[in-house]
Amino acid sequence: MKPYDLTEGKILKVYRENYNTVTVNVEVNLNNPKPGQFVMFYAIGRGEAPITIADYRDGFMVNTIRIVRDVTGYFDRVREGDVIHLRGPYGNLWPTNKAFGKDIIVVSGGLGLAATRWLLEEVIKQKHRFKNVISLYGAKSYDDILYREKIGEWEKEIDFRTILNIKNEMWKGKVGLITDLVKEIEIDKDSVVFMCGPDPMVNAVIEILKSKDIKKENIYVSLERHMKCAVGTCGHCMIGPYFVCKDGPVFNYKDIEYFYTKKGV
Amino acid sequence: MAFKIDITTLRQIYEKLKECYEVISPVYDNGVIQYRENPSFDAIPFGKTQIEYAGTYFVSDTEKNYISYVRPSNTLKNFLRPPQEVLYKVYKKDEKIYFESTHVKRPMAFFDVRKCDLKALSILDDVFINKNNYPDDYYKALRENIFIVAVNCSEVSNVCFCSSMNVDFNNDYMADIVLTELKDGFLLEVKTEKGKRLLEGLVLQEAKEDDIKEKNQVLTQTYTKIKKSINKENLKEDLYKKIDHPYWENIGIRCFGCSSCTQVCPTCFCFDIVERNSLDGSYSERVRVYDSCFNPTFATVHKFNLRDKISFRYRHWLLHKMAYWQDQFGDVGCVGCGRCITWCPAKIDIEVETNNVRDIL
Repeated sequence: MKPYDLTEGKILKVYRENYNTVTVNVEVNLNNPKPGQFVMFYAIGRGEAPITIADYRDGFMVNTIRIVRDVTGYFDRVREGDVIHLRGPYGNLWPTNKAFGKDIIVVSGGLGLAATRWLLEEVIKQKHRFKNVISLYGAKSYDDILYREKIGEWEKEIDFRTILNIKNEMWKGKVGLITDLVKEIEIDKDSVVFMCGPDPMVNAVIEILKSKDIKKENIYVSLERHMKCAVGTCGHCMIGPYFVCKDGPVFNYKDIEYFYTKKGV
Repeated sequence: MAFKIDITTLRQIYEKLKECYEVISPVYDNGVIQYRENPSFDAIPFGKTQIEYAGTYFVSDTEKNYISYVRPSNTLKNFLRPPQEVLYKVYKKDEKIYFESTHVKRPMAFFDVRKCDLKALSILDDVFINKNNYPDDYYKALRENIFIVAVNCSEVSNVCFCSSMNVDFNNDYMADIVLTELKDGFLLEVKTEKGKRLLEGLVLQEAKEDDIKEKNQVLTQTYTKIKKSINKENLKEDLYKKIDHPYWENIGIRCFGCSSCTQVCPTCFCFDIVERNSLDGSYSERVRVYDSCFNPTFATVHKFNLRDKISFRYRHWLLHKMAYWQDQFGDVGCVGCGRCITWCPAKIDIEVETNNVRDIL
């Protein structure tokens, strides 16, 4: 397979999540993507950006994009019916089978919810296979909350808890940090944790999980790094000896701990 | 098959190569011995020698022998993975986008490739083709049509340390023909069918047993001339253990972060893909260019720069060459050619630094 060839996709729906995030539904034929994988979105004259697959069913893909700069800025302006170009899927997947018969805890911070959305949907579908399903979601402010409708659905199915960083009159739930949610849950020692969020959040949550005696090999983290090629040749995404694009983005925490906790590696 | 030839026959071989290939051979230009496309046989810097130290380079004349110079300052990487390479031409017409993939195929012959560069080529093959799930078709297109005339070094420079970096003097790697300079002439060994075909029509004198013996002597002599070395035993484990050591800061203070070492390195493969656009937005080129882990924004995610200090960048580079590479591709990423030592304006020596880090208790 050629590494940089792009395929066509058609935008079916654009949904404005909040002030800096859009969710697009794309009609595209991908080769059997799995929860946890990502695609490279291309914008003419601007370049490519790695975007996680938030959902994929029979040729219909959901992607949530934070508008930051050149490439993502392009997706701020796409309209329904537009043709876009992308390649993928790349990377590995959330190993849900490792949690069969055990408590499963999904921790997501900010845009990290996009990377765990498809995972949550799959977990809910196979709810009977797990002892307990808990999902913890931390967002910065009331305006930052993603997938409001979906969260409503999930709350009916599983123990889904949300916490906001900043107080708001509209918000009746908890205010604080995601670590507060992790502290309050009661879980087995052999629970399996799936996590995606900014690096400081991951580090803080892992400290608390350690105090709860959760084993390192039962923690899976999805990482984000700068990427250009997505096939392990451009060198940008390296963390220690790992290429996030091909060895990740989902890592067993035990494997990466040594390099992940070192500054500047 | 081995023959003994003289300089006139060598010239004939060179001319034959020129008939079928774009020949790339070392020339002496602007005070530097470097690979150039399509020079003449007379441009080969026979009788010249490089004086190389950390941060120092000059060329002088010697009367020792013909091939008295060592590896050129640039590498095969410059031709097989060029500094600028157009991957796609993108046209926008009536709101539709068309891609045109631009594979360059040119038959190239490298005349005078040393063992370190051959080893580097096999390392690049692993990175781009053999150990990659998505073999790089641009690299492959250029790589498939090359002819290699390898040369066994009879001289070494002060910065060479290939003997301790997995470079096997007795292995001819993917060379088509191999040359060794003897006291009175050259030993020509033919290694492939391609090499045999090239020599068709030339009247050559079979090499005698003594000539082969002399070649082995040359190899042993060269081997003993190399002074620098890195002990590879437990190299990876040792470096991983010392990843936090304050000595890296010491290097960080001296290093300019200029990325010179990564540009001359024969195995550094990192790249960036940039877009080259027309002003009206109807045409865009996706261009692959060299990038370097010394580039300040190399590891930036959003606004976070993960390696915001030069010491972090130097450590990443050295560890990648000496340790990470072993985990990624099963071999060290350094071939000990010493180019990064010569061309470092801060006179930082990868061999000295690696040994320093290892010697710290």
